[in-house]
Amino acid sequence: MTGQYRFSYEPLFLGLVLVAALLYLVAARRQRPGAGRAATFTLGLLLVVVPVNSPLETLSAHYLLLMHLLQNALIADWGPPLVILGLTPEMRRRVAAAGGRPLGALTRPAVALPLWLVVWYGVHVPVFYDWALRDGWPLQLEHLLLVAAGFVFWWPIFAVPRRIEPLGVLAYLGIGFITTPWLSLAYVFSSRAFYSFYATAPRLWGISAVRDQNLAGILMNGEQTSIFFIAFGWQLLRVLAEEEEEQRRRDTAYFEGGR
Amino acid sequence: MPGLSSPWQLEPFVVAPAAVAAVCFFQGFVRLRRRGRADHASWARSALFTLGLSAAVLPLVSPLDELGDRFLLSAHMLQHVLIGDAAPALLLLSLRGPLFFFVVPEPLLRVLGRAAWLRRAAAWLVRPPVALLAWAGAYGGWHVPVAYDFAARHQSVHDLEHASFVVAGLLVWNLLVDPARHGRLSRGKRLAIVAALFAMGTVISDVLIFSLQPLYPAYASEAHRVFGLSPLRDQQLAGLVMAVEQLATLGTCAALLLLPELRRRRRARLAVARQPA
Repeated sequence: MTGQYRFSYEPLFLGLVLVAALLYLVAARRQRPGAGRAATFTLGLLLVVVPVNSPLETLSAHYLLLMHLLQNALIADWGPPLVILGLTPEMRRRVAAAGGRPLGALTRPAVALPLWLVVWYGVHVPVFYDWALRDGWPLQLEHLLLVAAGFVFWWPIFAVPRRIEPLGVLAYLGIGFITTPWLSLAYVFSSRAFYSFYATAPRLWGISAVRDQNLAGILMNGEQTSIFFIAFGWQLLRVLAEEEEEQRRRDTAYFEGGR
Repeated sequence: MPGLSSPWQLEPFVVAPAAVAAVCFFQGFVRLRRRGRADHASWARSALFTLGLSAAVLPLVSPLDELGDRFLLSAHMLQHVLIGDAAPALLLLSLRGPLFFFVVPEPLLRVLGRAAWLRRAAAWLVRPPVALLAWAGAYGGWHVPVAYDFAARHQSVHDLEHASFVVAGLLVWNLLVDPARHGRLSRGKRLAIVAALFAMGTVISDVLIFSLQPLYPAYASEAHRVFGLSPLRDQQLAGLVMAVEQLATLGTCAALLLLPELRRRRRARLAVARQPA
């Protein structure tokens, strides 16, 4: 394949994903994850590795911000939570134990959320973004930061033992949801290109640099809204189930007390 | 500048109900205080009520009305979210507790108490699926371009549109605020309603923000561009107004539902941790 649709690679991620897959296979011999869990883990890994080792990498690194943000969304917002969900509770417990205090401190909600926001907004600052695109190697750093921040953000929600109770998760997700969309809205409302790299890049599909940026904002906003709604809805169901259980306990205590 | 310099219009359709509401609130407020229950009729409540009533009335009688009707979709959206969302939330918050019953004059309360059909109708209307559907119907329906433009051309339909926003707002905020303190909905269920409202509002605001062309011909064809806003930019701004207003009202509501409970649970956990083994 040639031209804009050729494959490009970020070997760092091929290596990391290979190591993760091997570790999972070793752990799976003892933990026996179900087919659904294993598929979730595999999908998560694919969402981290494929966007940066495919024609999407070429399109994003040379032509369109839209494709770059699609790539960032997949590796940072979708891959990490799926990978974590693909681990059995016992695997998560072991990861937490292996990570020890540093992982515990890094994934405290009060640390994880600001850290994730700093990375998310920080890597999109034009100076950094343009540098990463022009020099090439920092692009891997950008993606590594995004993937790491994604894991740090989602870990407290799914960690075993539980780091936050379901009501707290709702607050955590709510704050995340309120604080993230401003970057995408800036892209949507902009009437000039923020990144000189894309402003001077060859135009693809007849999309101007500003329209590319507007579309990128729409994509990013839609993607983030979807994942937050899914996560929020899922947690809400857990809260409602807990409330129902609590009510059942109270009813039982009341009727047994009345006898 | 046209729109901004329009005169204030004291529409009877707006001013009369507002005056009745103010009188009802005042007599209930005074009656409750005279009974020595100033704790349920504090000055903060009257401030909230004034703020809520202002949010319902001012957008309809000030130059914002003309600006929204003729020139800017974003101004019209601001008007809608103020009268249909902020105002009902503030008004119901101000009435929470016994004051909710005291604002209804005693003779009227007796009549209402005897009308079983009215109680049944009210009970049906405040069921969560009914209230949410009413809200979705009002906001989703009126923002369809054909309906929006039709309402903009016919004053009576326009008044109906505004009235439906107020009613829908009162229905859903009644579930969230629970002014009569029925306690029928748990914290989780109220959070689910917040999420549902936000999700429905996001669909509308996202369509406005992300649309690549103007959707409302009446605004797109207006030659005079207030603040130099193009029709598309004005439309995006309208979506942003809705999204930000919803974030503010529903976000505050979610925070008020979550934070006290999280604090209470944290205190309980700490108390258990401090107990000697």
